[in-house]
Amino acid sequence: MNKLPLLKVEDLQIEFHDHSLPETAVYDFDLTLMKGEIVGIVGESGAGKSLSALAIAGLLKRHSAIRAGRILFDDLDLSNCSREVLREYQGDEIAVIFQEPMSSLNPVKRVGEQVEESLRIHHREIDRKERKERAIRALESVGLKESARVYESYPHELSGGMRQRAMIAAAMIAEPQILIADEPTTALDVTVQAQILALLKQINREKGTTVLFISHDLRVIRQLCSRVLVMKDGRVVEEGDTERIFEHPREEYTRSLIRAIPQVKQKEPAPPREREILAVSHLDAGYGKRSVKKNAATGKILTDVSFVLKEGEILGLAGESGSGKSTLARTILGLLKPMAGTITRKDFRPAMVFQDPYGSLNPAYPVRWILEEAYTGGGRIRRGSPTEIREKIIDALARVELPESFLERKPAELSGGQRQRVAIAEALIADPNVLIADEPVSALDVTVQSQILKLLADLRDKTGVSILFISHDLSVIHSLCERVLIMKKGQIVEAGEVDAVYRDPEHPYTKELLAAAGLYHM
Amino acid sequence: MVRYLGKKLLSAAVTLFAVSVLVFVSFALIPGDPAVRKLGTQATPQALEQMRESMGLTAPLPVRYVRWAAQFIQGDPGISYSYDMPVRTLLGDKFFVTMSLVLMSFLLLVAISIPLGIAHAKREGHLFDRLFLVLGQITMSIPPFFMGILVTLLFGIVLKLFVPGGYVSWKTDPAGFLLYLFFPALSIALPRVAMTVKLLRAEVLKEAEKDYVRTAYSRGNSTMMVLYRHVLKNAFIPVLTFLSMNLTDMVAGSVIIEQVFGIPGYGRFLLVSILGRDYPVVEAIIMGLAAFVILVNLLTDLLYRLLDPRVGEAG
Amino acid sequence: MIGRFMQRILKNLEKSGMFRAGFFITLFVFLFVLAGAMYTPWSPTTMDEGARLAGFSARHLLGTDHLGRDILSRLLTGAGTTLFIATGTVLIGALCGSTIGAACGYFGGVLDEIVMRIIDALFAFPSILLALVFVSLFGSGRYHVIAALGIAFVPSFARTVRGEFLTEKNRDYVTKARLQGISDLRIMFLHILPNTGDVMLSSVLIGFNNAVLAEAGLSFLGIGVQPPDASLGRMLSESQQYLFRAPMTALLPGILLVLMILGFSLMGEGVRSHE
Repeated sequence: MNKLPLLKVEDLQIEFHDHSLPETAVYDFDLTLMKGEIVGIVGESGAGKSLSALAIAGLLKRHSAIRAGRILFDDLDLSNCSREVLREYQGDEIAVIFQEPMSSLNPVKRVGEQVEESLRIHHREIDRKERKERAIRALESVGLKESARVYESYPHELSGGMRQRAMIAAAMIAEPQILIADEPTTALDVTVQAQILALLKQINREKGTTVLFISHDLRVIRQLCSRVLVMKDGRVVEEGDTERIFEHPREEYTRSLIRAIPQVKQKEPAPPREREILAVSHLDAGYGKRSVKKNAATGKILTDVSFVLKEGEILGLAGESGSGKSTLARTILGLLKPMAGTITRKDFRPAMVFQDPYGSLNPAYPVRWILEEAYTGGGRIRRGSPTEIREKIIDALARVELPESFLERKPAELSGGQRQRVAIAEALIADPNVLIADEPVSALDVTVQSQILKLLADLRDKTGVSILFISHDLSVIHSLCERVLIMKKGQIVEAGEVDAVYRDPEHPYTKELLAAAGLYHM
Repeated sequence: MVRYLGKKLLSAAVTLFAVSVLVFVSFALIPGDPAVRKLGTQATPQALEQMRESMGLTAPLPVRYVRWAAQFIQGDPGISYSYDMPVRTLLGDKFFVTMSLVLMSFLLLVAISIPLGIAHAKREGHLFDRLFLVLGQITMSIPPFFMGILVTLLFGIVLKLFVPGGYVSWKTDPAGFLLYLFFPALSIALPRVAMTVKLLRAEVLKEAEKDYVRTAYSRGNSTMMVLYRHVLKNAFIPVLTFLSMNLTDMVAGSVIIEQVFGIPGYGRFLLVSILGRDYPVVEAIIMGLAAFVILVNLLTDLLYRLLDPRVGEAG
Repeated sequence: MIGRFMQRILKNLEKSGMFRAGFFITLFVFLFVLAGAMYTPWSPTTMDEGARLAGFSARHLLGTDHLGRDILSRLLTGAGTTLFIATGTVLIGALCGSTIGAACGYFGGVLDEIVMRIIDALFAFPSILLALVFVSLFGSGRYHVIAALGIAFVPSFARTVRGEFLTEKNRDYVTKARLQGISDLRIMFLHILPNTGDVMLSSVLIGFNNAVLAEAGLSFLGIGVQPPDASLGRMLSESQQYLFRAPMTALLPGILLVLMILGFSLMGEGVRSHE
């Protein structure tokens, strides 16, 4: 590998002035990119990692600006040259791919037009016909079959993975020297994620493109990058070879990030559980023919689903988006009528925790009102005197480790983790015996994630509530659950003890999922 | 596309049907007997009965509706109570005058507001921008008839560019007709120009914040290229709906403007007929307008579909 | 509910300059109308035979119209009439429209299909035209105009509120409330309604605007408020013939009308700008 410095960033400072007073968002950022390497920047939301990367690409939005520092590329300081000069590099030498492939593509332009745009701007000598040929070839080279058809499609006609491939094709068409990837796999399912990572690796290997990869996910960084920068609150706290950082982290913050990665360790065997609370057998369900999702003529989403939930157990339900996990939850709760099969509920008192704690807490009311409403069922259930109710509410908050001072706060005044705690308190306040948690941690930062998981496990130990834990994240499921159901396209393809399934997956799809999460080697 | 077209046509037909039933039933149920209206309160019961018979009022409501609708489809909306003449003869010319006025206002609206809106958005935050925001807000608060009076005052009385109330028929002098229509058309268009400019500006600025704009910049597009190649098409989609809504509103607004400028369009005739309870004429005008509105909505849907590939995919 | 509405207005006053400007213009108009309800220098219908189309003077502060009636007095009462009718219209439109819209949006199903079809058919008419038709059905005059305009405004409120309820009812907090066994009515009014506050406020303001416009339009056409009641629209239409001799007779009611509309629209703008 060539060890030539390609791009050098020195003492970069970025300011953010959304409000009246400017705030510094990134301090003294230094980075040297060598030709042909893959460098990662990792950190939690708000660490300034995307901002730094976008500054290098000359793409800061209007409320942020470079205050000081230099970005040296090709004997030029990109931080300090005119838009006209910068434009010559954008798309031609430095290309970018983004997190949301849907919103990052222009919805009303054909994919092909967008893929070849860099060529049209930077290489006017290439005529229309050749441009199209090259675009189709580029689409092919990122693994899109039927590339001629994709060329004519609009973004909404492609799946998430296909869109991100098209974005990569568009970024790579002018053969740039540097590819900046800003959380390119975060919005994608794990199996697709793995494919995109493999594609980036392949591009780096075959074309020698230098990749700057931004992610909040340490596991992804470890799979891809040779060097990594750890950022926190606008500063680089640690930098080094990936293996060294993971094996011997020097900084406490890096260590806490690594600790927060759910570890797949041998679990203690769960105590035997006897009483069945819920038994689902041969269940078919869906939204009927009027459904928007018309993938099946019958509108059926779940096919022949059978499982049991026992008292006090934590059962994991794993699968990718669109596999029918949430539909199953809705059907169990009676929000959706089954089309066939039976659901037997024995003393079944459920409560639900949702993925997005912001949407699941009524924004118009303070925490006290929300909890009281849940406790009294909107005044339907008599629960004793106002003081007794208030005590119960304070007690519920204490259980999720929140102080009494939160009573009069509205959801907008809480952080993501605090909101999810309130949501859990709300779910538990009416003494349910089943908690259905639909992706409760996937909207949270990793350190908060591990706190919420620990809280859920503790609450189960204390109250004996059963939990149906729905997640796309297999390592999270492993750290929390005793048994797991793997779901694909509305069917349960595998079920069993977590340890057994993870050690010895039988179904090829389970193997694929585990491999994509780095938990199994094919 | 064909399926989409079929669906939209069907839905337009259903709406038109619903409108016709609503119109027919409400006018049939109004208290007051047309026969009495025609013959006067002094008429003998026999004469009234005969009159009702000949006007077809004795049949049950559904039969009367079918009869009325069938005639309507053949282009014969019946006989006016007040004039004893076919409504069609009475209305033909008036609709032409009104449509000319509406069309002219619409063309003015589009021709002024789109370039102005784009220019406005480009200069966001400048003095020009702020000045126009204030000016626009005031302009759009001027009711059309007051705008008509202001236009008359300025162009008719101060600048003497036209003679207020001096309507020129298109039969005698087509050029004079168009010239005279220009000022009422301007009165109808101006407040709407302000609204459209504001919407277009807001849409362009909203689109400019979106992720795909950042992508466009990342490929080396200049600001102008981003605006014209990427942002505008997206920003036009909501503006299109707004413009079509305006077109239908203008037809209604012209009732008032015709009054201000003394133009013999359908508006004044509608007023006279409403006050004189000449229901066949009122029904005919309302159905004509409803058909126009539904047609405009249909065309908008089709245009929308051409601009935005996402429309009509879900079902 | 009213308290919450007031809170919202206070919050908007604090946050948006546009809302502030609109609020003070509207306040001025309201005070003007209030003053008119208590005192007018002349009776709005008294004809001062000697002073037709008089200019500004001490006797008639803002002059007189073609019948010698005092313009200031007519403005004071006319603005009141317009505001009264607009308020009645918005009340009817907002109450009926929101109830229909909320029920349709929340429950959906066949009821929603049928009601929305009818609303769509009504929506095919611009509201002023609808009001014209209703006036032809009910007859003209103050209360008939309120009824006619009120009904004409139901569809637009129903549509807006239905849209809001449709999106809100699919939010997780509503699903959760249902799971907690909370009754539908309580969910609709206690859980969802407060979250549509800004949209409601802004559509009430827009409705007010359109009502002022429609009333003035109808009166301008001579089928709204009947003489001897004064109304801004009527004053405009009467002054039109004398535009050449006495432009002020047209400009003054026009400007008052513009202020009324500008005030509401600026407030509406302010509410929407920070949604």
